[in-house]
Amino acid sequence: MNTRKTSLLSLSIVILLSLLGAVYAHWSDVVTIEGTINMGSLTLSFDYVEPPDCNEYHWNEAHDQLIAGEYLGKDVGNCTAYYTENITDPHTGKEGYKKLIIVVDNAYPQYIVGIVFKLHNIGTIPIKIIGYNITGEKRNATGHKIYNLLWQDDGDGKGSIYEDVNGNGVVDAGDIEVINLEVTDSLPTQIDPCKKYKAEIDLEFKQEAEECHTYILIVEIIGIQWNKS
Amino acid sequence: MKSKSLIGTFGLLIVILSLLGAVYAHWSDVVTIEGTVYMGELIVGILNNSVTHYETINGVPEAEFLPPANKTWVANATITLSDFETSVHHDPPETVAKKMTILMANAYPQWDVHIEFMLKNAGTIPATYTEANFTGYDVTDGENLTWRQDLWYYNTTLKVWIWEGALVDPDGEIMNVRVVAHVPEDGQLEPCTSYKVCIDIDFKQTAEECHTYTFSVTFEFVQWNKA
Repeated sequence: MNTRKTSLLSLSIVILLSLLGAVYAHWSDVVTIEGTINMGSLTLSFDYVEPPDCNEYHWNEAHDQLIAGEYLGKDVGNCTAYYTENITDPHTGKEGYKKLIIVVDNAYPQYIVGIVFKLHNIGTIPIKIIGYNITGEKRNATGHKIYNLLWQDDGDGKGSIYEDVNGNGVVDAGDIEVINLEVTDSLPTQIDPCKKYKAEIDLEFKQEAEECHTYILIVEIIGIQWNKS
Repeated sequence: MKSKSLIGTFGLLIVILSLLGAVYAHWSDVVTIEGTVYMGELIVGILNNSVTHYETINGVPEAEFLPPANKTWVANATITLSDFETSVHHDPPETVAKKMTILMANAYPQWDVHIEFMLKNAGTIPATYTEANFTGYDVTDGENLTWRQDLWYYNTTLKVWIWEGALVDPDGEIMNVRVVAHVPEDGQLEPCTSYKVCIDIDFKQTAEECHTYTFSVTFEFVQWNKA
């Protein structure tokens, strides 16, 4: 008998609460705003299709003009350039490379080489190229680091590589100028998605560059989203 | 003999009471009150065709952002209304949408979206705002975003309610959200009256590339005398 009473009471409470709920819902209202955001991607890469290219030059005797090839047509120094670190933009599925490796063998003063490379915006957001960050190391024949290398940009991408003799991280008195380096690009202010542009880095080794030493240069091309400065 | 008398007395009583009853009925009357109640309705929604939006970059209109101008194609917002409801009490009928859907494609940091719409009480009963709920979700990483409320106050000079906050994930802010509602301080929306609401969204550097985020904002209202 008690069980029947309890069941009846429970049922009554459920029905009562349901009725109250219906009344409340009827006199309230909701406005909903829903949003979905698909973020874009910012991916600057070296071109997947066209490899980089090394071009050697020498000054003519009057020293006012560059001539293709090494002096007197000899093949003394060698330059090899290639891309590494294959990447795929997850948004577009396009491929490219993150790193350009330049290896110069048997270089000597006044050896001049230009490395042509192609940049590709494989993302979905325009990229603004804001500059180049060039660093490196000078190593001896045993691979031991002697000095860090610093780049001083004299303007418009023209400058020199210096050995940081006093190790203070800035180019100043006592540092040794060893390579002329010029970034000659025809890049627009911005690289839009899907667009490709060529640029070039020219190296000219100076008399102060030491024999049997290795100079390692790391060139970073800095691109940011187009609406930032 | 006794039982015969008792039966007789009982019968007589019944006859007398019946006669009295007839007399009583003859002297009674009835007054009737009949009522018909037409209930009101509570409908709050977004007025159809009232939604406008514009996009900016670092606060500058997209087409004017330099250099260069006219890169309005990079990111785009599309806004649609759905779940329409029409009041049966108005002539002509009032139709409002219960849901706004915002789709933002190819978004990037410092790209901003500004949305304006009219919030309308299309019913016949004053409605009072009770609460707003903000939620967010990172679809790509499968994690909930947290709503961090920075401000919620009534600006007595501008006569607007202002909410400011951000949807955040463990790495930082994904987007800032600012809602400005041109409604009275008591939050009551009168029938047949529209109120301007502005929503500003700007994306932060912490928002991740190629991710999909979703968010939902609900504004709840009840009948004005229940708030």
